[in-house]
Amino acid sequence: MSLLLAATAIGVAIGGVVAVSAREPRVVLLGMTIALVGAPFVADPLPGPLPLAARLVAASLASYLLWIGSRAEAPVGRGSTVGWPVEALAAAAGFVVGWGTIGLGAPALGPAASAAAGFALATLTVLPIVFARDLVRLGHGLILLLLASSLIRVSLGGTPVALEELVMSGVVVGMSAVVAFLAVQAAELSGSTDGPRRRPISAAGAGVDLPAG
Amino acid sequence: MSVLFFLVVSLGFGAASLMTRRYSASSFAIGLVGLLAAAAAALLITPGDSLDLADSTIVGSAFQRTFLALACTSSLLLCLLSMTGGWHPDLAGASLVALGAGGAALALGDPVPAITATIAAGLFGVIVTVSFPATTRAVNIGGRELRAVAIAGVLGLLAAAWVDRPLGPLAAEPVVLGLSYLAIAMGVAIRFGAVPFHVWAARVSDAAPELALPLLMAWGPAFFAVVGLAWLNTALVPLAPAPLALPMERALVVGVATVTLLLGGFAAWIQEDIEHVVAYSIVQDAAFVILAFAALDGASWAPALTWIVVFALAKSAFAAWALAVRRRFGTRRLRELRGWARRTPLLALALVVIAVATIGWPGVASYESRMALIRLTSEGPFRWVLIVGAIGAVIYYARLLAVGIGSPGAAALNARDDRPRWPAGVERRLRDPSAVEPARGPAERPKPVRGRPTGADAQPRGTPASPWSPWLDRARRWLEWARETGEPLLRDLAVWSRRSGVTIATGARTLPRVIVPAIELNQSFIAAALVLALSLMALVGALGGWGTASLSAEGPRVSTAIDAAR
Repeated sequence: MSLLLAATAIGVAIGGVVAVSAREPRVVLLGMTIALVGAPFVADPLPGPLPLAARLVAASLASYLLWIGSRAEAPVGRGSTVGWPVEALAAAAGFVVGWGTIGLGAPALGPAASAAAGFALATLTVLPIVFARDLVRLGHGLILLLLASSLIRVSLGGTPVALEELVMSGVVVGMSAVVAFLAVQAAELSGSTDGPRRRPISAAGAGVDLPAG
Repeated sequence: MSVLFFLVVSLGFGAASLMTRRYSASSFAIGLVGLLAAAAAALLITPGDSLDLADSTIVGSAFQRTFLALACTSSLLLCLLSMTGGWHPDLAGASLVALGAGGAALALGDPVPAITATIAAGLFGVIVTVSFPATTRAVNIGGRELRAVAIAGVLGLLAAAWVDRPLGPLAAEPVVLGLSYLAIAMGVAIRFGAVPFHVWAARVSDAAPELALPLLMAWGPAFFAVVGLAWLNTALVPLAPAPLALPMERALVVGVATVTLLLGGFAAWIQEDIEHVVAYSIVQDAAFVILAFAALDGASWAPALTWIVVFALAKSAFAAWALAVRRRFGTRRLRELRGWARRTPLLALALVVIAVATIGWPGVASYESRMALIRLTSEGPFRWVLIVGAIGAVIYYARLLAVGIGSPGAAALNARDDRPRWPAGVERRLRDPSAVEPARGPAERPKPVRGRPTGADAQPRGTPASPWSPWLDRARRWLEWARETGEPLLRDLAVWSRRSGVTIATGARTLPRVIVPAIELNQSFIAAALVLALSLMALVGALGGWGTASLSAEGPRVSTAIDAAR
């Protein structure tokens, strides 16, 4: 069971790395979906069938909403400014730190795998949240941060009760809806989710900022 | 069960309103009906009424009933006011969803899902921030707001998750308690836009419509503050009894509150745009909520609850006042508003009431609650600094009034006054009973002077036309149809009434031709009356009405769902 848990936690972390590193919207969405679907399974014992189903439905709905937000005139995003290897290493470091500090000083009621996945996701969200000017990337970072906090909470307090899972499902869907709303508005306004400046698409498909002035 | 009914009503109507936002008038109408129904449902909440739901419990409380009923009523009045201009089609729906999520947060017994629900309460305000029609700047500001809401919520969530479990020897570790305490207190400071976290709030005040400010900066964060304070009092205070514990952390929180109090007041004083004055006054008054966290003492609970109710009501009224003034005079610049109070005594009275409700005087609930919070968190000369900051709010209210009673400028001269008006035909009939021609169509509007639009007609660039007109047109058609259909009946009724000596029924024939134009003509007067109603709601709260006095008497052990569930 712990091997499976660890594998799921690694999968969630990889999903996060893909989500914050990729430039192609569909690949970003794939990473977000992996993280959203995998997160509720990183718990021991697993949540009951009803809360688990609620989280999965919420993950599907959230992914669909994010897809709506990113498909409008889908401009290629900026992706990670430091590249995917750096993001992956940072996530790995966070994973190890989370695994090693399980319980944060007191006996933990949940598995170490959820702490590891939570810390990995939290590490990954720093750059998108602090430095992102791209609304979609910022939104993805905030959703991952919410997932990270829920995973750390599972590691500290054990598997949440059904109502908490339902509330978390609602918040994940709500945040995805708001991110999608902002992304659609931004795309309609400027044809870009990166603020007022238009970015020409290079031959490789990567977004390049226009020079100032 | 009563709580669940409120949640179903508010979240159901809110979701329906937001999902039909493509049809803006219908969406807004659904939202208005929903707010009315939610206010009624909130009044039906029974304190102590619990319901087991999904392995947990939701519980009703007196504070929840009062707070939600006032929030729904206030939002309803704001939405009605928005129909006179500066409206936002998503305001009603977003308010409903936010209040529903906030209601759930107050009802949940477990702090972690309660804090999670407060994140949802803040999320939908972002939709309102992105003004209609959206601009690039507003969308970017919406992103900033989303970031503030999410980060504040995650801070609170992690703090609660860390401490809300068997801690063992860690319970005596001041670092753990200090970090948890700072996380929840700073989360609340971020949500309220306290200095130095005020940048997002300042941007929001630029982008969001005036009427959205109470939802974004007062009601939404207030849910988070109440849940956070309840958790602090039940989880941390027993572990760290004041004043011995966490002196550095508490000093930091007091410092944030003090800086917010002084700089917020100063910023509100020097602003030229009245919407910015409203925004910074909200930031300033939120400092007392942060002071409640600084106290780290169960005694802060009662005054904090009282102040939160008064604060949210007063700031709703202040935002409504700002919209009504901008709508009436066609500008938000203070230097262009000279003489506004001479033109509209109703709005001047409303501003005085708002100032009185906010500042209060010794013996009044709003004043005493703030002084209690100051006493709990300060001593010596520093206490006087906080007291001066608390009373200093009078400066910007006085400035607004001073500008208002000055010699009227062009905007004041061109705006219409507060007097209610009759449609032209009715007015002619009132003056000359022999005149028989009734009013047809909308009544005459005052013509602009010197090329400026009159206040009620002034429409800022980018703001859609008020939804009032299409609805009034429909209402006029319906009333005309009803009149034509019921004409024979009315004629018979009139004949019967003349024969029987009852003459009231004859007046009914003219009503359709009077009511609609009268409403259309008196939008400014109606707006001023709504602002006055909101400010009076705040005053009643400040005087200890709305049950705020009894809420204070309940104490922290029985007045929250969190305690009740435990």
